[in-house]
Amino acid sequence: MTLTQAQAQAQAQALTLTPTLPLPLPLPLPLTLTLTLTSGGRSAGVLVFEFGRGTFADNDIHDNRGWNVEVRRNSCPTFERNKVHGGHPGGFYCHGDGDEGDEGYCLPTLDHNEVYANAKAAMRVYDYGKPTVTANRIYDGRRAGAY
Amino acid sequence: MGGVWVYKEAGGLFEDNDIYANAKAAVRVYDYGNPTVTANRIYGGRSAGAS
Repeated sequence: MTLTQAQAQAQAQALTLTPTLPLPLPLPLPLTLTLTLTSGGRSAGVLVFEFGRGTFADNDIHDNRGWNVEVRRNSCPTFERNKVHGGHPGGFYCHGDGDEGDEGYCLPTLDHNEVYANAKAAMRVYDYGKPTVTANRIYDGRRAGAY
Repeated sequence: MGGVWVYKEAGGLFEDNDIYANAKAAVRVYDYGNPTVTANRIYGGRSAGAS
């Protein structure tokens, strides 16, 4: 069976167009906007929440006008060997426990960080926050080392 | 707004970057986002207010 010139051209166009079909799909922009509102107007250098994970190592996190690092409930990032300083009001803020029955329930880990010269507290653990804090250097907090 | 947002089970390696002077959180991780963030300098977030 032979193709007419028009059929061959149509087939060529179809083959050309097919790989491009997934690309123009719009990203879920409404979802992004909705979740942005959950920040409650706070600001942090690093904010981890709603089942956020991640490994943060060897970073210099400093002089943010919110907490340098804020970890909310049901999130379990690992922070290792970071320098966290000059935050207003502080360095690490871990709050909210989450529900142990929730899928993905976990707790944050702060290990071998250097946390210093923060305006109020180097580390605030509040409202059932339960980080594992190991071998950090915490010093020169303007008001408290940890509370 | 923020500098780096990682969410919806996204990952990635963010290494040796300067992330600074953002109006909201410089790095925001949520909804099973799981990045590796190494040797960056994160500073000078501009929004005031905290809990």
